[in-house]
Amino acid sequence: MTRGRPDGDGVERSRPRILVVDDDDDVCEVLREALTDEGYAVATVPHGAAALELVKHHRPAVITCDLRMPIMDGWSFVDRYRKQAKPPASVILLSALKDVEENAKRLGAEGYVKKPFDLSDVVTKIERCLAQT
Amino acid sequence: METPVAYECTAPAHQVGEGGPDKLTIHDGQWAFCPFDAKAGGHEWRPTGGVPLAMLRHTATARRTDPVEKRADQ
Repeated sequence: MTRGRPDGDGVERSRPRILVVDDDDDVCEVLREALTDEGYAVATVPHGAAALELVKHHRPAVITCDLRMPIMDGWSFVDRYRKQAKPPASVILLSALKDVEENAKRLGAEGYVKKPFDLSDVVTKIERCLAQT
Repeated sequence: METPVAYECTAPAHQVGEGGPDKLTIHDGQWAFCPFDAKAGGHEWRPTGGVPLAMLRHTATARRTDPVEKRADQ
């Protein structure tokens, strides 16, 4: 659960915003809890189309994104997002695909973490992205 | 080092067929593998003690393709 005073969509304004894009509710919930504990304001959406809609109104600092999702997958989302967002937030791919590293390079993502991941690895990657911005 | 998978699904109906593309989910806060589809209903989770994902994938593929392995599991 997000602590502090939320804005209209439940995401607090004063802390770095992390957008989690993943169709697995359990993965979203674990990331939400862990990242909230780390002091981030976290929003989760189940597919790329919902993420594209959300970023029209709220600019995240970092986006973590699964690749295989219904409605709009991670490839399409990252491709479209990076074309329309000026400047785009850092994107970290979270996927069980064996070639996630190649996908991250091809999509221009700032990082990737293979599933099954350790939460500390995700936090570290997010911190690195934030340090570079 | 790869994070181990803590649970695998042993539901008989989930040991056959290709199923969906996503085999990994989270169960009780830990990583869980279903050889059929992580998003399917009717999982029967069994603790693995913590094994690499590659091992579970390999075993699942062997079960689907090798009848001897299937019999040994029964």
